[in-house]
Amino acid sequence: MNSGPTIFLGLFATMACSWTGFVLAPQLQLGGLAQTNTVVVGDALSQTYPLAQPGEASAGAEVYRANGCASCHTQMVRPGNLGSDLQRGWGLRRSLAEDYLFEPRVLLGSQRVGPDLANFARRSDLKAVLMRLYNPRLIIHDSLMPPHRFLFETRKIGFFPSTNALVLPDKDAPPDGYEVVPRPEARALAAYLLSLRQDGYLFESPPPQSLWPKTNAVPKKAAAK
Amino acid sequence: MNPDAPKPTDLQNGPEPVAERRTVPAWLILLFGLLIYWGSVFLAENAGGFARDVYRPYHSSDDVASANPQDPEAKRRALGRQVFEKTCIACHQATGLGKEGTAPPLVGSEWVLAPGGDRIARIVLNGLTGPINVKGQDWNLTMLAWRDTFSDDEIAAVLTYVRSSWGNNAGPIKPELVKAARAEKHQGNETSEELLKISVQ
Repeated sequence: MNSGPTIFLGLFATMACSWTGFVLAPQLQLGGLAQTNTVVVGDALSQTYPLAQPGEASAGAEVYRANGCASCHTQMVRPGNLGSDLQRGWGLRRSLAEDYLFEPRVLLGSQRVGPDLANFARRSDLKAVLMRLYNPRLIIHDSLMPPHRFLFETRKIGFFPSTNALVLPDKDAPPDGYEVVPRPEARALAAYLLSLRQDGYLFESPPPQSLWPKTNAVPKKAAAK
Repeated sequence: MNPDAPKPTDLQNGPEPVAERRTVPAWLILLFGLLIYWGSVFLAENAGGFARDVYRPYHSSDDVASANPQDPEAKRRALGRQVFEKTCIACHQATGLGKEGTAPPLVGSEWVLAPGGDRIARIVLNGLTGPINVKGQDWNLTMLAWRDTFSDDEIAAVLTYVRSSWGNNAGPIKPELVKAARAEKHQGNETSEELLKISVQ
């Protein structure tokens, strides 16, 4: 008995089902996603969201990928009813599809050996992030993160010391006459990490009522009259 | 083919297996039916209508909308603007500056900005005929009555819009005020002498 056509049709139906579910349906649902405006909170103005990554940050995203950061770090804040992400201060709100609008490759990650980085820029600065890359235990006493010293260069101090040189405690300090400066990769990676923020409240995940604007009834000047 | 060759059934391994056709058992069809039903119910309750803007913990777009800051004044302002741009704009112009020989300005006009808004509400409701002094300039035209065209709410909204646009910053007008003015059942158009008898606080 020739079952070829039946097998072909079966395979075709199987593939068509998964293609519909994994490609077509998400495209229909999210394909039209566009830059939007944040929900007004308090007296603040509405802002365009999200903004495209600056150039150095998108170079840093490649360093992030190349070093496998996504193996230990996620970039996705779970909603309040799933886990403690919000209580840990990893974000103001859950992550939404909009947050990844301008990322050519979404680096969601899958396990959390380290903390979630979706809002890393909200809780760090350039100096701290470079120190952390050089030796994580300088910042977090019992960090599990491997040091990334290969992103830095220990070099002889030239005519002037570099303004980018890390200020390290004695234990990690380079020998006298030497300084530790970040290589371009480290600077790009830091720029990327400091571009990670999902802090605009959007329509899909609105602010809690306590943050709602009191009233927009009358322009302020008129109200004063 | 050699007729003496052994037939497949003659082989030691027994007959060649054949794909049978059997009907699917009824319980399996029933099970699949139940699973499909359960899946559909689950999706209907949890998929948020597959809308793009519905995430947990919300169940529908209306749900999300009601969780967002409610700003009724913004809606009223939009309504006022809509009324203005459909109707008033023809004479009073998009800038609210009016036009020589057509309509006096609304920007900075003492009639528009008067506290309370009792006079301007009557102008819009009942129209206005005859001489009127606006910002030191005499006008002698006729404005139509909009009593039958717009509801109290629409008139209040457009007055609020006019009083808070183009640099005007007088307070909002409530629909109740327009309702009270309408209840007077004024005959014919207003005149400026009549309006000036209405006191403004």
